[in-house]
Amino acid sequence: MEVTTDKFIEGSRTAIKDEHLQKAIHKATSLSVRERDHAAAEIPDWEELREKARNIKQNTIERLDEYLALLADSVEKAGGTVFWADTAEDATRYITDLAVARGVKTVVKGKSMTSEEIGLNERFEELGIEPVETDLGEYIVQMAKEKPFHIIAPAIHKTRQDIGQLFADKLDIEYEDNPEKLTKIAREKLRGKFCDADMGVTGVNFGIAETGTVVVVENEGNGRLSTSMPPVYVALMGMEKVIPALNDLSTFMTLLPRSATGQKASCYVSFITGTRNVGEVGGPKEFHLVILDNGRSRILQDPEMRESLFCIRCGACLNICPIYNKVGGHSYGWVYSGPIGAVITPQYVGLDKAKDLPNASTLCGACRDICPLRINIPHMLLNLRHKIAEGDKTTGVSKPKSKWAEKAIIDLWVIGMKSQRVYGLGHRVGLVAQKVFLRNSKMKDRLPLLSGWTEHRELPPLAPKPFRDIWKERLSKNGG
Amino acid sequence: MADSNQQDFLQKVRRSLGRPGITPPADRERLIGSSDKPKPVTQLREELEALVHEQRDSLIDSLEREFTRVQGQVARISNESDLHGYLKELISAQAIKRVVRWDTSLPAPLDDTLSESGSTVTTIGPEDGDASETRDALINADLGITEVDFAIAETGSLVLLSNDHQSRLVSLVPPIHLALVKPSAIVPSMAHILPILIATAGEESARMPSSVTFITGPSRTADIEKVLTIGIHGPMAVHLLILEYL
Repeated sequence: MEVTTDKFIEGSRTAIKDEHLQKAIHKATSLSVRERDHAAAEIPDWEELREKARNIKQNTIERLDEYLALLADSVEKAGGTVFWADTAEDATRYITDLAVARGVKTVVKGKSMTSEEIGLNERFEELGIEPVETDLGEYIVQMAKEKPFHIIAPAIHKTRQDIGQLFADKLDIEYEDNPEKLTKIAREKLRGKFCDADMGVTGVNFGIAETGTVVVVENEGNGRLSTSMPPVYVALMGMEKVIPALNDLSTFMTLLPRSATGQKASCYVSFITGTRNVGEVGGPKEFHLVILDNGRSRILQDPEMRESLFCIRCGACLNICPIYNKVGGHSYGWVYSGPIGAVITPQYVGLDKAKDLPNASTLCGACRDICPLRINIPHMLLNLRHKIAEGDKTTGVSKPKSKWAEKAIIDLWVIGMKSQRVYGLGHRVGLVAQKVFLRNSKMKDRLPLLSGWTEHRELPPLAPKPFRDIWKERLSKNGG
Repeated sequence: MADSNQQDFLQKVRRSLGRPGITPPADRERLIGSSDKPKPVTQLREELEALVHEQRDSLIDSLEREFTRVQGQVARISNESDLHGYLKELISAQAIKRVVRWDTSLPAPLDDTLSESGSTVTTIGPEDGDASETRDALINADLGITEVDFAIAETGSLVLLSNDHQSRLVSLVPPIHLALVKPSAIVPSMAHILPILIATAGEESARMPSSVTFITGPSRTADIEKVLTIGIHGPMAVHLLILEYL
């Protein structure tokens, strides 16, 4: 997928001014948060489950190579083929080579952010193979030639009128904007694709090392169809999705649907293990698991950043984030948006290309509080900001040249904080100097030299009496 | 078999984690093993049966409540005549002409009702999987009939395993899915089923079934303005019959 992470500020400004968009985002995310809160409240040991899930992920990531080896072994024992994709190109080449070798004309796709990460659809199209997104939200954004707007609900930025017009234009049908009718239209249009498809590709929510099982979680049934009807099934899995044992799943399957959509259980959860059993009626004859690195091992190098790989893609952090709620998913310029996107996108596409993303946060911590795995996103954003400010060899970002005015102010501040006398003098001087900028006892906007800072920030005026004078008076009054 | 591609990939991961040496061969026991000795599947099944029997009434109540909550249709069937009545009504109300079904032995009234109604019934069994007639039957069917291997009371979920008599597509392709459950198959939660799947794979079949599907109601989406719409790619309706007399 095209990377436009360097256009974050521009994109945000456009999004914030778009009232239509603001209404759509707010409606969708506020409902999701309410539903999530309600569903989580039903589970008395929710906090213990979060802890348990975090520990499972931590243990797995710390020995990731071993669990991946076991996963591959289990998949192969069940008749599947494993391909190890170091880069996005490795993955797309393997999958497209396979498609060409099998004479594939049509591919049906279950929702897979990883496939967007590697740009799989574009590679198929180059070869004249038709990739069909079958998840309704993905079907809509594919038709509109847009990127997904949200991890869980890709088309949530579009109103029913937008979608109605899109269907009327692209499907050559009469305009219709009732959501139920639009959904039926999508069902009819896509039915034939499932039947005709020569290959199915989906993502993987969890890969179970113990049994070689890939777990696909969905509500629509397109995942089940994509994994059951075509003769060849390819599961594309980010390597961090592996968990040790089948029994670990019940913890995650309590946390995931509730955090994502407020459901007790998603409509369909499929455990797919290998190819069809001997004697089994139906099911794919070939099963390929493509395990993707594509920069995840680089994330592992910094122990502080490892937990960004704990993410189970529930989207809760997007729904609660005050920034995402204003700027929306497209501003982030790549596949993953919101708080988790701000953490992982710079690590994938390069810190130098995505400098604004770690700054797109008030560090309020709402994301960490809502995350089913308690991923410490604010901590990692600070870590990234530090890397951007100081330069970092691993991620190849060089220390930026300091702006002289900013450096001067900080140096002065350091001097002032180190000496009580200088600090006191500075305060007295400041009281006089600020009179020039006071309007109705408030500091005016856009102070000279500091206009970048003060355009959107309110600088409080200095207090006429500093706290240390008030303290001295109080002490002497009380005979201290 | 670890080829050089696998070695390189895993070495890169291991080095990134700051761990010395090379990835040892996959050791299931060390990586998965728990402190307790795994129970044999017969014991697990017996224990679950006892639990299910004890909590029978509350499990049935919970399943009925939760399945209704997710827009499923539930009916408690107390005798063979009721079963016949329900199916007859369904066939008439939905104008069912073509049916596909699992190749398992369904209760007698079902087969009788189906033949009475004059609808064509295609049973999908071990020889039929790839036949184009099977494909056509599935695509043109109005109704798919299956049993369930388990039902989960906590979430209102039906659990269907795939094998040579239980086709994945019967509960997926037709617009209406009719599922039959015996009270003895209703368990409290997913956590009760997972150890049995593992033990069965370990002792009896050497691997997991190629597909285990958890179905919680008819298919749905909220991708358009977060408005919940029932019926998209999977079935538009699911009818769950709790065969209380069995």
